[in-house]
Amino acid sequence: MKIFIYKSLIVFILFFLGFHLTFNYVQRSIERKLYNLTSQENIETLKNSARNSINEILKKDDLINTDDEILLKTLIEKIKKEIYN
Amino acid sequence: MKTISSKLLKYSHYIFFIGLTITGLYIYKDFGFNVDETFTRKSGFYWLIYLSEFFNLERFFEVSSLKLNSSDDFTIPWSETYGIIFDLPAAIIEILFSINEPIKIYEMRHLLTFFYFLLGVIFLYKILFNRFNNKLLALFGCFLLVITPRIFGEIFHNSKDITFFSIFIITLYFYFKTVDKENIKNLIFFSLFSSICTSTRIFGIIIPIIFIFIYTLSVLSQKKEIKNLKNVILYLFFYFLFLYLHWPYLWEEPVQSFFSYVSNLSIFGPELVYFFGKFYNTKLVPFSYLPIWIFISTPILHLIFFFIGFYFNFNLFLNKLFQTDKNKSEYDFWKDRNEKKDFFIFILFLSFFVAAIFLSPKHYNGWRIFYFLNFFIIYYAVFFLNIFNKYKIIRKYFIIFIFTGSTLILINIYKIFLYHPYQSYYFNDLISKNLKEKFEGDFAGLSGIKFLREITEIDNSPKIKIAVNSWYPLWRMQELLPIYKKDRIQIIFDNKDNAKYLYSNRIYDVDAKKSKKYKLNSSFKIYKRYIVDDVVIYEIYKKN
Repeated sequence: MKIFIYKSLIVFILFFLGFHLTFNYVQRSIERKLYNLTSQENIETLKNSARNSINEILKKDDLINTDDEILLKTLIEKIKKEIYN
Repeated sequence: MKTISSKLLKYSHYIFFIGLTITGLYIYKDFGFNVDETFTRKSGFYWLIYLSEFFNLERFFEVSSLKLNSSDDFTIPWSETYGIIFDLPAAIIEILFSINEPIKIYEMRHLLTFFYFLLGVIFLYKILFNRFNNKLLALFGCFLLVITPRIFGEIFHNSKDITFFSIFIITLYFYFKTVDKENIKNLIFFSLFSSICTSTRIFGIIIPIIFIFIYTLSVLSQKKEIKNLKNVILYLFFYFLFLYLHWPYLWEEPVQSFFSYVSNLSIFGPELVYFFGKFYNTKLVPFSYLPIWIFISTPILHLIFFFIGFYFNFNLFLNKLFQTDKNKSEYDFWKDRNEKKDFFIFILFLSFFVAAIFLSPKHYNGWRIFYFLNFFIIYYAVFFLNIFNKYKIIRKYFIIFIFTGSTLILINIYKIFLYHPYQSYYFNDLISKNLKEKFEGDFAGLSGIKFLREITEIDNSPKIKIAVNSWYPLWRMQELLPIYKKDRIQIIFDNKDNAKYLYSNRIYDVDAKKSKKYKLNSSFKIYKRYIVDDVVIYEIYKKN
């Protein structure tokens, strides 16, 4: 009986440590990533990054290259044709 | 000559404690003021009002009501759950001695914190002497604790953690006395201090749990122990009785209030902590947080002694675990009272350490909440020295040992002088300059008063406009200055750009690497950085 109790205690301790070092460790890492992703500072950083990217784009003379222009033009014409016919 | 040295040995503990008291009285005014001090002062008055109303003490009621209303708090959400063991006596002293000048109030509190610590060290001496029966070893243990810089730096301003630390040591002393002689007197003292420990910090609840656990193990080993069940019941009865009696928070709805306290532990403390170069939510710090902090901010000598001592102790109990049932006349994990005490300390240490890493609701301010773990560091250090002394196992390396030990102690004492009065932010030599930058510095805000004193000396303008560029209530420190200096300082709250100087202790409530909250206008240039041993304590920016 005594040995059984000691063994049970050891198993419990190992299970406790194992649980925290595996499952809880992963859970905490995910929670931390989610927290960082949704934090006010991160949203602020993302907004700033989006603003900077738009500013960069606006500085360019040509937004779309010639091949893409042709492709988009053809696509729009095809859509127009399908809608109005 | 022999007579002198034997007399010195006889009175060595008096010399040590008198020396410590004189040192404390000499330097207690040097330290800055902790951001939590207004909160704990407020907590004292809150309970004094409650008790004076209860016992119909009109004078105390009126004065404490006035004082409570004039107190401001900042970092911690208000809570009535704080134990009264320090705050209430401090509030009573403040009223009894009519201490009204803010700086005198805080100096009195610093002195009182020091006396609590002194009491803790006296009991540490008693506990080590009780266990190792060697006066010099017991004194050396106390000396090691005193020269632990992170502890030395806290003994005047950190009323919360230092009080808990001292009560914790006293509780363990009465456990040792209970093991020596399981009579009602020792059990009552043990239960009294266990209950005070629980009300001071909730971790204290682990002590009764481990006490019951050890008793269960003793019954498993020896059936005759069942006759001592009445002592355990008596202990628990007095534990709950004292917990209820000395903690007014439990008076109205004991069970509900207690569980509400336990379930709301995470409301205390800040939201973010800077650790290893990153900002973490205090509830989601890595499991390595506490071990790393202990490793980088405990003196190397303490760490070496602790690891060796703990290894010997761990080995002993591991062997006993594998040999259970072999010797039926003995207990499974101890053969005498001293081993029982060691086993209690061993289980208690592992429980606290594991609970602190995995179950603590929050981690912040370095590891100040867990400074009581220093008791175990000292205990195992002395445990090792006792083996060294008793079994003469390393006697052939005696000279090397003494030389290395003395050098490390001297370095340690030098560091205490170097950091003074910022020993609370000590790092050992295992960490490089660059790494020190990746950890929090002045989390207790001790530097605020120094900065204000300094700036009023440097700048002679009739009005000095100052703003704070970190998460710190600098305005609280203003009232601690003499009136002629206080009136010259104008704290700017709304627009930092209107200030002439910016103060920062580099503690932030947002991720300062991403947020714009603490980004500075280009007109501000660094004016001064106060650095101790490569740790930035605070910095001042000046507008050009």
